[in-house]
Amino acid sequence: MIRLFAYIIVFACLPAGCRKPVTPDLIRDRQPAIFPDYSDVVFPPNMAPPNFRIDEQGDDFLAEIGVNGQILLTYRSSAPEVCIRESAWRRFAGEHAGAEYFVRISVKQGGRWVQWKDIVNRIARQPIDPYLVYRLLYPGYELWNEMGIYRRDLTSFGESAVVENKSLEKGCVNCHTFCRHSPDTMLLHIRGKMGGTVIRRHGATVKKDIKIPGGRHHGAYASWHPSGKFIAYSAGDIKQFFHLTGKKPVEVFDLESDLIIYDVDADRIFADSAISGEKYLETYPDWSPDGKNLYFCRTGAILKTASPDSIRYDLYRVSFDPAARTFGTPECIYNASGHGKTVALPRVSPDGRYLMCSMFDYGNFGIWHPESELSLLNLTTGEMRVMDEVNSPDVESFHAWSSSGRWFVFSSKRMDGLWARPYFAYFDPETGDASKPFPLPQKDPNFYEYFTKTYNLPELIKAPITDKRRFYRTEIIPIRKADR
Amino acid sequence: MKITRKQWILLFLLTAGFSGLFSGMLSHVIYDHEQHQLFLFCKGYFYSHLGLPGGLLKYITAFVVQFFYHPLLGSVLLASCIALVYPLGAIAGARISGKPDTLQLSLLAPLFLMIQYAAIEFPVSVVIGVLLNQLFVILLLRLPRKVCYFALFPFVSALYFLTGGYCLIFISMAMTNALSHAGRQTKRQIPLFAAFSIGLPFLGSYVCAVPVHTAITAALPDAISAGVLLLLLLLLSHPVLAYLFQERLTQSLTRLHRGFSSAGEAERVRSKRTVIVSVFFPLCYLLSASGFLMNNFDSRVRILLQASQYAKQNNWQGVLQSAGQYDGKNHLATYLTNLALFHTGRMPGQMFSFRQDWGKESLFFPWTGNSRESEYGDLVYAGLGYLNEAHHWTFEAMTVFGQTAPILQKLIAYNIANERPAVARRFINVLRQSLFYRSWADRADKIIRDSRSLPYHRVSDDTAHPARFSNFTDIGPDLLYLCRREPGNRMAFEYLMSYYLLTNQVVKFAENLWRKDAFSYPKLPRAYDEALLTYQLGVSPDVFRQLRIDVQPETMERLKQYYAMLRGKSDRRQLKEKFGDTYWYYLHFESPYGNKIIDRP
Repeated sequence: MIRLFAYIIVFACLPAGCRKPVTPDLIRDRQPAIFPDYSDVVFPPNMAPPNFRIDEQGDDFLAEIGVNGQILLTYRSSAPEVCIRESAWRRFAGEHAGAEYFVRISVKQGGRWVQWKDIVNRIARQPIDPYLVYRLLYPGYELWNEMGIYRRDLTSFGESAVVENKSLEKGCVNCHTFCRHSPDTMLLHIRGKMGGTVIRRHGATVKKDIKIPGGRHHGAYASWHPSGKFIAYSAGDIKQFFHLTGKKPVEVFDLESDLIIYDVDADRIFADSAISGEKYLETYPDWSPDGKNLYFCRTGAILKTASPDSIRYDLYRVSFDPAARTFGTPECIYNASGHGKTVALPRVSPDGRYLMCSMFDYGNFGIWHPESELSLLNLTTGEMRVMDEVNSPDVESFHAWSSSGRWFVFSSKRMDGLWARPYFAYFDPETGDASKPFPLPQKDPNFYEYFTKTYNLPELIKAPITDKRRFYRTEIIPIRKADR
Repeated sequence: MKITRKQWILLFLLTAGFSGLFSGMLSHVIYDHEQHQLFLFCKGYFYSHLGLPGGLLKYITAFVVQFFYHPLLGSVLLASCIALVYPLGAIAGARISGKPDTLQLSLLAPLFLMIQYAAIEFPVSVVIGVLLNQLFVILLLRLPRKVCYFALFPFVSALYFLTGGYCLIFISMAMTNALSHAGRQTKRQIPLFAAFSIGLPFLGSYVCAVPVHTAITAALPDAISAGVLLLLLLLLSHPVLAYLFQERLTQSLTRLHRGFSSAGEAERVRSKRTVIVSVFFPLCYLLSASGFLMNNFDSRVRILLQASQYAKQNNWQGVLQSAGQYDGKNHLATYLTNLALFHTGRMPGQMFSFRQDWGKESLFFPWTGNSRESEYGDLVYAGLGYLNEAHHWTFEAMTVFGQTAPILQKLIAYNIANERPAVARRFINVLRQSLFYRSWADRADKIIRDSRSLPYHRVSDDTAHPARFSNFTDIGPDLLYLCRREPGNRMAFEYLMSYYLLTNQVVKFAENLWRKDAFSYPKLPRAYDEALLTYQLGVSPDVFRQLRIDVQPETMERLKQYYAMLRGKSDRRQLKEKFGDTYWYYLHFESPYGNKIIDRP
């Protein structure tokens, strides 16, 4: 028996350990093509291994990963997929946080080993929030069947459902929003027979109908006040239009839109002339980290004669007094329309120094605009810049900061132009620069080649969402009071 | 517990009979199931079925349904599945009731299932779920009593996660078994079953983090009513009936025995009667089932599915033949007929030879969010060259029906033609994971690699008006826009003309008739000629002369005859027989917009 075990061990070791070291016959002066593109990027030290596929022709593939010329991890296979062991990567990334590492790739082509120029990446010292929450669905327009909000453990490849619509009579679930990256204070919308806004706070989960009595529109895009006492919503008449020709399939517009505030403690909805009214359309609210300002996008009321490609939003800020529940006078902090652009999705960094937004040619729904790009406003200097280091020729849209402000995640359609995938980038608050982004690592490097659902609204959170069955609670508790 | 010779014969007869039905009268059922499911050989597809109890049943069903790609194979497969319910039920029933199935009650469940399968909505998962439960029951019954007691929990749990709510079949049959056997050991199982029935949904709810009602109804299809499921459950629980009624039957036979002079004579009479009962009852069942089946069969659904199948195959002559058989008013039938009329070059001449009950909507589906329509709405846009809109409809169909083969094929084709190869390739990658569509996917991939085009016309991008949106409630403005942008687009022209005719807009029709010069009609098509004459009668000669198109003399003659019949107050039926295929008849009697020209000059 012992002998049998010995044989097994010896034979198991042969392919890996006892293979002859590879001596390259040819060295190429370019980096190899790999998919997904994990080259020249910065990884968080606590993320799952970035498995990839070598997109070079060959019969045998070798990937060596190491630091300072020393090879620490080796993967050799006749298949081009490089799947790094999770435990090995965790140890490697933990031990080399803050350091650069190389990925050396050799491929046997026609009996000769060809080695490519090393791919050099870096592991940051700062970890990323360990959970990513997103909605998964086919990127349809009006109909849906199966969809759900899911939570991915970024430290591994584990994914679990937060809420799925098959338990909600096939209703639509959307707009999961967290207060300060905490799953303890969060909300999500459900549309359909079991519709309403599910709000979780202080351990209680309730469902509310966020709508000013007599008002026509329900709350949609939301932002939690950092105190967790208020939620700002946009409430509008959202319509879709389909392009007859061209690369953009669909256009989404607000025909009417205002901001409303839900006072969670008082169970009261209120609006203010500073953020609502017929003269302007306001949308995409986002509170500053100190809770004293509300950022949002605004444009003039849409005339029936207006051409859709002439509608452009500017970036506004309005002060807020939480005690008195009053707003100051809105001020335009970036006149995007003056630059022939429109602005959407402002998100202030946790330190309050930067505001990231997406900018595109017109409208307020950038996810279908290939020209949509992430831009960064330095709130100290007022300087706005397009983030060329993270943008691509295709869509960059919804984005979210990590709780530390060192990382951000955003939706990009750069892989094929139809499906949004979450991309991550490291951010340096001192310089205001970001690193080259990389897509969410998957266990199977070919995952994105087959997966035909889109990742919607990626949000980073600090802890897992618990007691998920409570989201299915059906009764709506009416709002106690509402005023304009 | 073996299948007897009689059961083998019945199984064979059932399989053959059902196969015949599925390859003949119900062939559309096989086709429809195949078109709405796609089994993929990949881990991701498997894992996606593990989230809920009963997910694996859907996985197994999809595996079976993929073979429906070959209709004959599919017919035999589905027929065998349904027929197998009979011997499995008979074996389990005999064991549970301890009595032979003299009344052939085991036949009821497969016959009932067969009747249900005459409707296309009835899911294949039902019969698979029943079979799996029956197999588990037989497996349980083969175990020694003591082992059986301990095996109950793993059995029920496994079945629950495999088949979801269907495990009620197993529980009810196993409970019947426990009831029908005396003894403390078996009786003790009953509270256990009750505990399982209540506890499992809670367990499922906890493990899968879903509400309890979802855990109960998991895997049970929405398409069938609770009544049908309940009836099926009762029929599958026939051992209870056997236990109750056959006891009486045996008693009556025993009484009969007492009346005879000798035991041999009594036995002869008893076996003769048993044979009669064994033949009589199955015959009754079969005859009743045939009646119910015919009642449940909707030939119009078959016609529609056949027409849509031909449309997918670009067999437009077949579409015309099929849709022409449709008796009644149906939007899809009219829509497909008009597409076929265009593709066979008969639209301008013969469109009023076919029913046009829906006015302008005879030409397209206005977007109403109807999921079933989303499968077909793209066809007209694909023909016109509005590939964005065709893609829109097909994509919506995918969100509803999932990644089925015909939807993926269309998405691949539209994206290749619309110069989005990366998107097309994603769908190709998915289709490649299927068994029967792999070669099709490879061919599509080769088209991308060779940068070849597809036989789809694509309207070029309108750079002057980047925000031009489709009007998905009324196709008319888009047709006019297209005719202006592409004067050589024959489908756009014929559809625009048809649109004007169907909406009584004779003036607009006449004003746009000059566009016909872009095409080589040997003479003005009949419907156009009739409408032009209608226009001529409503305007001054000077205005009409501006069109520079003359009405053919035979059309004038025909109109005279038409008016003569109309004024002569002849029978409407006669008028329809003689002039039902004219534009005038449509305008006077069939147009949903009334019998007046809408846009008088």
